[in-house]
Amino acid sequence: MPRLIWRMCFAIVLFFPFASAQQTVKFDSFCDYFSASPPVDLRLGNPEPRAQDLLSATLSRINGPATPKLYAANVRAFAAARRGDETFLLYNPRYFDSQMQSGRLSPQAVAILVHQIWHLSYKNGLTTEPGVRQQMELLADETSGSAMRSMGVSGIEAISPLAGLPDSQQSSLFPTVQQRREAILQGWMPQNSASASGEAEHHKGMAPPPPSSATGGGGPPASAHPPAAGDGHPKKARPPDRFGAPPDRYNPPPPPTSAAGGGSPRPGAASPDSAGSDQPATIPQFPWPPPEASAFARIPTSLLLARAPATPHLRDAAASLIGALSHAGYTETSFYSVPDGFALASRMEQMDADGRPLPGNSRWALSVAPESVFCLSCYLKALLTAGHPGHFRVVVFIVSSRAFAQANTPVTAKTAKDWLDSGMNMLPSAIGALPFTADHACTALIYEFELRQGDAAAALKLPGTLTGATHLVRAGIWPQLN
Amino acid sequence: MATTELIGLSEAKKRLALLWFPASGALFLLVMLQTAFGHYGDHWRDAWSWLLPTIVPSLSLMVAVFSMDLQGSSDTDRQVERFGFSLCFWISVFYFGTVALTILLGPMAEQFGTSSLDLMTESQLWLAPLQGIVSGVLGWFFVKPESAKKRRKAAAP
Repeated sequence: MPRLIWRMCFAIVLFFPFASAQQTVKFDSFCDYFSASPPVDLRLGNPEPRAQDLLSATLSRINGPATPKLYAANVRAFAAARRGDETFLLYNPRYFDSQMQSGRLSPQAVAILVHQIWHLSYKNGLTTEPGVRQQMELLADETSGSAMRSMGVSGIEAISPLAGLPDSQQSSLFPTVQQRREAILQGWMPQNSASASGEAEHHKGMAPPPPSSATGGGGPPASAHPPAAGDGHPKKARPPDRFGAPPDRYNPPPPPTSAAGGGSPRPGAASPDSAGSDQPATIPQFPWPPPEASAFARIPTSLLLARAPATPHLRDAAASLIGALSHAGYTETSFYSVPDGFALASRMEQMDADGRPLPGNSRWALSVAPESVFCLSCYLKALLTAGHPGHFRVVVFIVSSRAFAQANTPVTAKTAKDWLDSGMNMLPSAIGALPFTADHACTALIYEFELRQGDAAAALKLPGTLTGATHLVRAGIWPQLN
Repeated sequence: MATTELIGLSEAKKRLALLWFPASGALFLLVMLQTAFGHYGDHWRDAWSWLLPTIVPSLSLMVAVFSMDLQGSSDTDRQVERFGFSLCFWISVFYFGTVALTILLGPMAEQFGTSSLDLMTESQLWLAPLQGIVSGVLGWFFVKPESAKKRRKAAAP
C-alpha cells in the first residue's frame, strides 16, 4: 500500500508541469476554420518550441489590434480566438507535426493558418455580428485562396481543407461550405483590384455588394505579406459560372516569381513559407501613430459617408475622400495601411500664408516662386527682409477605428513629400472591403512646412498658423465633402 | 622723354579713402539692415562671413597707412603717377560694384533657383581673384610710393 501511494505521488510530480500548463478557457469569439463551435473543454497549453518559433515569427508580423498569443490546444488544426482585446492563435500539436514537411507547413495547413491570421489581423475579424462575421469568413477564405495560388497550389487543393464538411452546414456566423469554396476560388483566381473610387462609384446608391463580389482579396494590413503572383496578371474575363464550373478547370498556376510582383499585391496572402519567412511588406504602412502634425481636423462621418450605401465600407470613405480631393485639384494621392483602416496622403502643394493653394503650376512647385511683376517697393522689401517664405502643405487622412495620439517624431519636408511616392495608387481591396463601423473616424492631419530665405529645406511648423479646418476649407476639400 | 602726370600722394590717398570708406560703410549698413530685418534668417553669420573678408583687409591697409601719416612717419609731399592712382581708383570702383551687385541681386537670385547666400558663396569664384588684384594695386599704391619719387627725379632736366 505505501508503495502504491509513493507511485501515485511520483506520477503527480511527474505530470504536474504538464497539468499545470493546461488551462481551460472560454473566448468571446472563435473560429476553427471548419465552422465549428469551440470544444466544450477547450484546453490551452504552452506551445512547443518548434511550433512556437515558426508561428511566433509569423504572428509577430501581424499588424493587428493586438499581438496574438500562441497556445497549443485541443482544436482541430489552427483556430483564432478573441477574448476582450486579447487575440489568440491556437494550434493542435499533432496536426502541426503531421503537416510539417521538410521544415515547412503543408499548403493545406498554410491555407488554414492564413485564414486564421486574417481573422486576427482585424479588430472586427472575429466579430460576433452575424452578417459581418459571415463576410469576414469569406474574406479570410478568399485570402487563403490567394495564398494557395501564390504557392502554386491547384484550385482543387486550395479548397481541399473544406473536404468532408457537409454543404448544408451554415450558422448565423459562418457561411455555407459552397460559399466558402467560391470565396477560396475567387481568391485563387488571378484578378485585378478595382480602384477604390471606381468600386465605390459602382456601388454608389446600391445595396451593399454580396460578399463574394465585395471581397477583392481580403487580408490584413500586415507586413508579412508576400506578393501574390496572380495579381500581376491582367484581369481575365470570368465566366458567369466561374464558381459553378468543375474544380478541375483550376489548374495550378505558374509558380510566382519576384519579377511578377508588378501588380497590386494581395495583402493577406501568405507565401508557401510565410510561416517563418521574412517577406517584405506589400501594403506600405503609414507611420503609426502618425507623426505630430501642424494641425488636424476631424471629418464628420456624416459628411464622409453622405453618399455611401447603408452599410458602408472603408472603400466608400476612400471614394468620398478621393472625390473631394480630385475636385479640389489633388489628383495625385497615395494610400497606406494603418491599423484597422487606411491613410490617404496628398501631394505636397504650395500655398500662400492664408492656406490657399498657389495658382497654376506654382501650386505643385517645390521652390518658392519669385515675384511675377517687378516693383521697386517689392524689390526693396525683398532686399531687406526675408521676402515671402514658401508655405507647403501635405494633407493625410487617417480613417481608422483606432484612437491615436500623434507621435512626437519630427517629419522632414522630404519625408512628407515622399509619402506620395511610397504609397499605393489605390486602396487595396482587402482594406476597402472592411466595413466602416461606428468606431471608425476620419482625421485629417495637415503637415505645414515653411521655406525661408537661406534655408536649405522647408521646416515643419509646429503648431501651424492655421487650424486644420481652415486648411481644409481653403484648400477646397471641405466644400467638396460638404 | 615724355613727362608723367603726377598727383600728390596725400591727395590720392584721400580720394581713395573717400571711395573705400563710404562704399564699405554703405555695404556694411546694407548687410546690417538685412540682418536686422531677418533677410538672412538664421544664416546671418554666413552673410557677415562673406562681407567682412571682402572689404576689411583693404580697409585695414588704408587705416594703417593713414595712421602712419598722422604720426608723420611718411612723406606726405611725395607725388605718384596719376595713372597708378586712376588704375587703383577704377579697379576699386569695379570691385565695389561687383560686391554690391552680389548683394543687390540677391532678391532676384530666387528666379534662378538659388538664394542670396548661395550667390554670395558662388561670388567667391570671381571676387577672390578680383580682390587679389585690388589688394595688389592698393598695396603698390599705398606701400611703395618711392618708385614714383624716383621716376620724378629721373624725369627732371
